[in-house]
Amino acid sequence: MGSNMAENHPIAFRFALQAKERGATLIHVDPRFTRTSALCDIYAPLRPGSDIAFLGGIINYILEHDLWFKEYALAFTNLSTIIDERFQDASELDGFFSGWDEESRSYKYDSWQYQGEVVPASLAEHYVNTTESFADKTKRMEKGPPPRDPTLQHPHCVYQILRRHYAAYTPEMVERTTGCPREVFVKIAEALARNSGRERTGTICYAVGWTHHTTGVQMIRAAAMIQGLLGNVGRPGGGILALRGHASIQGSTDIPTLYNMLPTYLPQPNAFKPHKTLKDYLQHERTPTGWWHNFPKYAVSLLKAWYGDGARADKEFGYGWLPRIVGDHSQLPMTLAMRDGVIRGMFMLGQNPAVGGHNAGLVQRGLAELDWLVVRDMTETETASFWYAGRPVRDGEIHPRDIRTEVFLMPASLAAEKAGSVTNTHRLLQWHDKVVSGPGDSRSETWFIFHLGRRLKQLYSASKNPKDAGLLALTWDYPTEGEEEEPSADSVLKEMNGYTWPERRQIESFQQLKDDGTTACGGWLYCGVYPNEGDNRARARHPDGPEGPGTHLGWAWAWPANRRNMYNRASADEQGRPWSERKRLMSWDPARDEWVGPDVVDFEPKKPPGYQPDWGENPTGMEALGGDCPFIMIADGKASLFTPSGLKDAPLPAHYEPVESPIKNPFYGRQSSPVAKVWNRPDNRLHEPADPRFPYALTTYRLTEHHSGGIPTRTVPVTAELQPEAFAEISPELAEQLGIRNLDWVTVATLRGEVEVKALVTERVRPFRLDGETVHEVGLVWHFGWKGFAQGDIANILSAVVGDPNTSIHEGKAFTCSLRRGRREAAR
Amino acid sequence: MTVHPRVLDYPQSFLPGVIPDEAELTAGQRVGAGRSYGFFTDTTLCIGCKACEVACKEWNALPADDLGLRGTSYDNTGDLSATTWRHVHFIEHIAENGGRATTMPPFQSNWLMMSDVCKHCSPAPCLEACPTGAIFRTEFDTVVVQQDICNGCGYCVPACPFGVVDVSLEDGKAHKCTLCYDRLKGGLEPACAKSCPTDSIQFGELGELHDRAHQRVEVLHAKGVENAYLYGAPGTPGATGGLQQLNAFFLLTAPPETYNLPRAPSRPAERVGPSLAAGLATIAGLAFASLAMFAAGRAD
Amino acid sequence: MNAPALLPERATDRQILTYYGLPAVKPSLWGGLVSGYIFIAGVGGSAQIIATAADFARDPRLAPVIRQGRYIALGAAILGAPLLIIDLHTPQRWYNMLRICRRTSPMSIGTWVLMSFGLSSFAVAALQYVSGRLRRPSRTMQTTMKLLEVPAALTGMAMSTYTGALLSATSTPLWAAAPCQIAALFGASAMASGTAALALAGQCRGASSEAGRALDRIAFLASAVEVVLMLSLRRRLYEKGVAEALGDRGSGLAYDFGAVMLGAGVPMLHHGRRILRPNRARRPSMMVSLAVLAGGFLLRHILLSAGNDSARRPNDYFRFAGGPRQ
Repeated sequence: MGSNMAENHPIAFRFALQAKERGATLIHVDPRFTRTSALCDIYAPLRPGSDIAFLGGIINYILEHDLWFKEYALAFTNLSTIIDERFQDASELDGFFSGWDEESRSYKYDSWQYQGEVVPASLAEHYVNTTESFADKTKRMEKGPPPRDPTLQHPHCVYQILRRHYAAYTPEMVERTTGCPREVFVKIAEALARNSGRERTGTICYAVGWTHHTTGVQMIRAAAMIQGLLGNVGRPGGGILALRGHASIQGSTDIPTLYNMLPTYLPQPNAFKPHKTLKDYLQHERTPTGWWHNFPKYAVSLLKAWYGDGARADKEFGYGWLPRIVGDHSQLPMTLAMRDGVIRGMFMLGQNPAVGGHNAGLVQRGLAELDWLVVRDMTETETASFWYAGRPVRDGEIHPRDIRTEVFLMPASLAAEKAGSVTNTHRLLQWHDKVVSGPGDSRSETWFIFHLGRRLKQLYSASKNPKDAGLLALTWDYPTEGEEEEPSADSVLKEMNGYTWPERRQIESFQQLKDDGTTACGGWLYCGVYPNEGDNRARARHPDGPEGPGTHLGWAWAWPANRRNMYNRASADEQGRPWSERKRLMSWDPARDEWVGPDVVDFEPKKPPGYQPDWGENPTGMEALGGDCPFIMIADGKASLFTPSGLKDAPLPAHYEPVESPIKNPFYGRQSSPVAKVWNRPDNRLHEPADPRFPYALTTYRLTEHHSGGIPTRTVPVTAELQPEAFAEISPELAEQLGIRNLDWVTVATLRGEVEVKALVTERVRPFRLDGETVHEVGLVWHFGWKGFAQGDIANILSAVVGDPNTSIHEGKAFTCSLRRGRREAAR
Repeated sequence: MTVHPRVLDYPQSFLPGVIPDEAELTAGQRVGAGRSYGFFTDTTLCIGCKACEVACKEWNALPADDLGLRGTSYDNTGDLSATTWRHVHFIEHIAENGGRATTMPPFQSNWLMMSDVCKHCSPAPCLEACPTGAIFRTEFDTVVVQQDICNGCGYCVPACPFGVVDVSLEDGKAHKCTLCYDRLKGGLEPACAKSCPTDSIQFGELGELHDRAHQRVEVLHAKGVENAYLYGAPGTPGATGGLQQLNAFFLLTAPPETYNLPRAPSRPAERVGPSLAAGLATIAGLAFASLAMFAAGRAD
Repeated sequence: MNAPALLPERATDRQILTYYGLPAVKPSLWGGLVSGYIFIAGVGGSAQIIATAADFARDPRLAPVIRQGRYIALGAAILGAPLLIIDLHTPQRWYNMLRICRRTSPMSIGTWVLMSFGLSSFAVAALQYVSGRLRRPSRTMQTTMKLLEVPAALTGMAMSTYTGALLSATSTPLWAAAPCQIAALFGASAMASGTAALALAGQCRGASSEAGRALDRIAFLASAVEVVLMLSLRRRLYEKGVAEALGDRGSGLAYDFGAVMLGAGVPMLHHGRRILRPNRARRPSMMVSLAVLAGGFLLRHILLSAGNDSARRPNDYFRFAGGPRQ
């Protein structure tokens, strides 16, 4: 679901097909019948944005028919945990959860907590405030185990809350909301449930088909709940696979390009949080229990890696030099800030927001407000040429002479023209060497950033201004190679791995990291990738061979600690025995007193399954987690079926319509997510629900033949010819209704703009019948632009700047539009 | 496909050079002269990614040839030509019984995709038609056009029962898939097969490929794909009318015509004899009649 | 396990499946040059046959027919070769045709037929020319000529008909469906055209009425055979389900009125009438001869272009290559 795996991850789909060869059932739930659907056993059509209705229906089906994996879910999830009795769910409050504050339009999370305990969020990315500071309240997590009722009878235990919350998600409601015929839905729910238990596991794959929604995080949460209930996490063949965008998009989350995180998921200091001093920051962000208790070691080692000898203990290891965030600095609000003239200059490294950015017309108008713009890419992109060929320019809205933006276009090297590592979907770091030099003056990004930093440091070298001290203290001593002075990517990876300071001896594991400044580490999760001088494990190419266990630990290196299956403690039962021979991975060996198996155990290797914390001792960190708590990154070690902290929109996924929807929410009075990030302004106008002017559900997507913003494929003849032009996919039913024939020009419009493309009339798109009402769908490919050989209007001209409250990811998969035959007025 | 034991011999991320007999690692067998090689294209595994088209054009340095949106599902290639040697067909059969498909037979169904290629027929009509000997059968039992011999007579074009070979108006020579003759010589698997992510295109020695294909049909039948059948293997549709076998053969699940393939192609050379005989008999008869008439005139 | 029973049922002919109606085979690259060549080869080859037949009749009144026949044959050979070479897409490599001789390839067969026909026709015509200039041609010369005209006539037969095999030994449905009929038709049409060419030459250069009468008979016979074969070809193409390309308004009318009526039917009637009533004026015969020649060219050109057209029709090809009917 939420993934068109065969089209967008064809190499990974190889493994899905191999599973199928061995008898696996493949199911595809998607708004369109795609190349993935063609290879599946069951295809379920789904109206764009109705995924939670579908997933909630499955949860309901599993609970009502008692199909969940009892031993697993009772032992390893918080199903039996008792929640604060003030908690009320969306079914009681017509779409809101308890704690809604109308004034701030946000939730207060007190009523979502465990009874008598406050649970800290585990990931900085999802930082959430309760009304009180964690630092005081969370101490209680050390005092005793969370309150549980293993009989599941307590009315406020998670199990009972789930049953109440999802009671409305019946197959009939699923059909009414998603358009998926109920018998197909039931077949899928059955298939999932029957494929779980001791002997069997199932996996759920998703990609941007889920994340690109205002409820994206909740969709993934719903899938996680299903997997938790069915016992499909931490076991071979189980899990939720986030299929990441391109080769190293996982890497760009780990060593992030995200504004709110420091490398490997450490929170960026925030001006509005108690982050004033390093001590505050560490104390506030450290969780008392679970693995994240080690947080200070990682944070200090990071500072040491960045500031080296400048990171002195008496100067808070340079913590003061770190920039503080003051709000949401993600791409969507930045687009608006650019348009409003707040941002004056911008670097675009391998990104093409004139095509890929949402409300692309607004993006292009925003670019025109900049003083300067640096674009580094393999060729001139739409973003670099907006000032003479952009939509507002061609429509005569802006004249090039009125655009003051100075554009610097710089040639960038492609992957084979530089060395480095990529971190792929399953967290595997694979090194690639440079094969050829790039043409002309093209240089790697590493070269660009390194020399930019070097020159900046030179420029400020005489400065005594305190604000420049951080820049000057930065360790920037990567050795360079060759005439072009290419910085050594190898040395960057060594720094990420970490070493002792000041000897710079490589360290082998994040267990060796310290918070006293004697270790430096650029990203604690990458510790171990370069454990010894000359030993770059990302270069390793030792597969298991025909007789091996198939975990291929010798092939490259996966974070953390070369572990291939996360939470794999859960592959054994409460007592540490494998759930079954067929699904054996890790298990407790009483003879050797340790966890054994073909993977690296995701647990303390010597902690026996029977271990229970001695609550009298006020245990902290891992000591507070029992031997039956596989989810060590979570404060109580149990999978969160109910999420007390970490999410801004709901502790339980509830179906909200997309911000723009052709119908009213069939479940609740509340139409769309109450906390969705919405910027309703004249250049970003939104459609009301069920607006008759925009009756069609619009979804945008990619094709196998093109890559994201399209620059790497549209400019190459042999890939351009495969999908040479933009098109909209519509069903024969809608085509007939509007008098559109295959390959006719059609104009798709929203309040943000309109695009003209050719129509591809296809049975792969079908009308959704919802409770007697028919909703038609329009599908639009978004790769195209005005550059390269394969051209077409930019689909994102239509989309709006609205985002998920937790991640600020835009809603590009579900909005509404109008459609008519013929070309745009302006184009004629 | 299991991992070949020899894979363990190459643990470097940057290889010192070409791996000897690389096809053994990637396709499970060494390439050797004097044996028959071909493709088994299993359409039930095809995901229509067109990697084969791109790999083919990249390796063989073929230009792009057509930039139009064709409106024929996701097929914007149309046909095989002098500059396109792999072509993925897309056939949409989504609607059924007035509704749309939701439950489907395992493996590819309802949206059919098939990567078409030169069949390297045995015997090969293009080769049999070639008056210059430019088209020849290689030591790998494949059929290749020698560019330095071909004079562009174009007779191979209508001779081909599958519409594969074509004369380029750019250089005036006939072109088609060479089954990567150059790669085979270097011990490498052909580019399209190597790039296929789902092993829909399998390269190998024909005998083994036939065995594998027959087993695959049996497996599919057992799984309920009753309409799976081979096309171009000896004794199957496609290997008809004097064509013993197609070295590039297919596993299909719909009538051959769906994939633009003839159900019973024939070998044009078999028409040479009858045609010449009929023509010569007619004209010989008329010649003798003429003689008789001239002779009759003399008798007057 | 691959029994035909498992093959999915084919839809009925009416709803035969195609791939978006796209061609399943490629049409030949041939156009007017090749239909011109096929026509000229037929005229030349048949002229040589008739000349030889006339020579074998040992009737001195036929000498002009023999002479003109030999010259026409040489002319056709001289004209035909460049036509073929120009039609190559890499004409500078025409000599590669001589690298091999391949009996499965009518193109290769034709190369050698044209070579030997050209050489023998040249020799015969040269001897003819020399002996015509000599007051008393030597006996050796006469014998050599006699010896050479037999292979010239035999290769002439091949010249007139191999082009049928050239078309039929392809996968073009309209040609491949009727290999015997097309070759036979080309033979008959070649004889009719050769006769017409000789009749024309006779009228221009003066010939005996004996020769004229014989040519009338031959023309009648050839045209009659041609008409029969044309109708039989039509029927064969309908039977095979590949006649649609010939059923179009353009090519269908051209075939029926141009090739069948003008090129064969009318001449047949005309010659038939003249055989029955031999004393009529010779004048209209010239028009008829021209009509035969025009019809002969038209026949080949229509068959060629209709063939190319049929290759573009997947339905035609699938009916041709559709296996046993269900």
